[in-house]
Amino acid sequence: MRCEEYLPLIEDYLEGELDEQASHRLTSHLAVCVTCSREYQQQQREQQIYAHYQREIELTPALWAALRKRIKNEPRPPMRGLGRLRQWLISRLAVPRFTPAFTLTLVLIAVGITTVVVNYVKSRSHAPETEIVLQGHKIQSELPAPDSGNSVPAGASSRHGAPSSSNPNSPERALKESDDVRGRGKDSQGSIPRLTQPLRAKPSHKPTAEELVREAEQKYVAAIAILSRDLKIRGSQLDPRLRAQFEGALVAIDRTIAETRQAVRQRPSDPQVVQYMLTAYAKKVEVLQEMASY
Amino acid sequence: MLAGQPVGHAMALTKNTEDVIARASHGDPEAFRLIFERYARPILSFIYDLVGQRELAEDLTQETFVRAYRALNTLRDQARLSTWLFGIARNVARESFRSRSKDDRKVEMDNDQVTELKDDKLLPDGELLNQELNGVIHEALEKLDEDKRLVFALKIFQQHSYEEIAEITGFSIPKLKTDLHRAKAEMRRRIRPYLELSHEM
Repeated sequence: MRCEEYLPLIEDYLEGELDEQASHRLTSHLAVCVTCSREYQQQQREQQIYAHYQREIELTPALWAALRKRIKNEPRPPMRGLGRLRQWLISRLAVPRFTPAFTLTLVLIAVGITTVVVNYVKSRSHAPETEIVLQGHKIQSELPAPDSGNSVPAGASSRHGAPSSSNPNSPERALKESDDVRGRGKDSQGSIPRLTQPLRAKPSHKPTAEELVREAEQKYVAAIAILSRDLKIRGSQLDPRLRAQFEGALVAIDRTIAETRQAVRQRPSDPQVVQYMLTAYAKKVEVLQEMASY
Repeated sequence: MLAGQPVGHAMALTKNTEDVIARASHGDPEAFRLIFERYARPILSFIYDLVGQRELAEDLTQETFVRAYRALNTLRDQARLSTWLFGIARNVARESFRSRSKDDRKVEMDNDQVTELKDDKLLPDGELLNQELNGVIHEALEKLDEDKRLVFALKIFQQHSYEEIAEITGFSIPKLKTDLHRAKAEMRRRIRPYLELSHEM
């Protein structure tokens, strides 16, 4: 090749657009040709000058502020076809579906259910007639009061020395007295007498304490399943050592859950056992939530 | 002042960047701010090289990002975000360029820069020369025709590849190579006196 053929290659070489073989041929030529070497040095010098070119303009924070103001009220055009599917997949796979606020709400609901159930189970030990208010729904027990068919005055239910804390108007207690226990046996102290009035059938089914416990348990299990699934998707993002610590804690909690569940099956009306089991579930939700926060 | 240092090719888009684009396309302003922070400086420099006026360059940069925000969910290949943004910037600048007469543009050029330099006696010689050279490059760019200036700015200042420039401009590679070669020759002729001086300094 002659110099006339090499000279046009110098530009491409300096722009990084020349392939390896041509680059090698050019550099070999530059090493022996004074004319081409001078042209190469001049173009290289130009490049250096352009690389140090300073513009009389600055990027100021005001530019973003003005831009943000403009895009604030920009309507988002609807997603199209594959684009929408892709965004849906990204949102499903890449981002945890539970925001911290939502998860916290879930935990609070579960804790609320636990409190209600435990209080209810405890109250059965003292009050002969209860009516449950759970999550805004007034739930009556299986059997109506003999006179009203719904509830009886608080005084009537305290005839066997129910503690003053069983006041039905107490806000922190989501339980009201009712006639639930008739036909279901006595509490552990044996202080609840059987009612003598004939039973009156109710048109709809009202949950028993065992059903409420089971419902609370199911809610916990559902929450745990959802959190576990999210964590499984995001599992690789958690530091392995931290993950191992969390998993160790979860194994211990699972063991407690299994033991307390068995105890609840054997003694469903024992408030302490129920409380232990639901606390273990709540703890598991708490640990999973903490894992999800990383 | 923005350095004229090359900003390199489009950054390799990580999974996080894809997430940022996805979030921004859903209207998340914070995600869009990250995109802005990454690309605002090269886009502003590029537009300034094309239009030659500070305020106009800022306005057109803003317009570029507004259009990008509106159309982000139509971006098919997220790895091409840089090329896509430069393409929008080029269109915005071209629209502006065509809506103004060439005479207007010349009147509004930053000619006061030269006067400013002459009055500043405290600058060391090397720095004074660099500032003057900056002014010369700026004016030389102004004198290139639109296509040559566009290709020169994308290749020399923004260091895009020929393929990327072809994608941004819609030019064929032979055309843009010819434009680049001619633009460099014109620029060389205008800055030649400074080439030797700055070499001596």
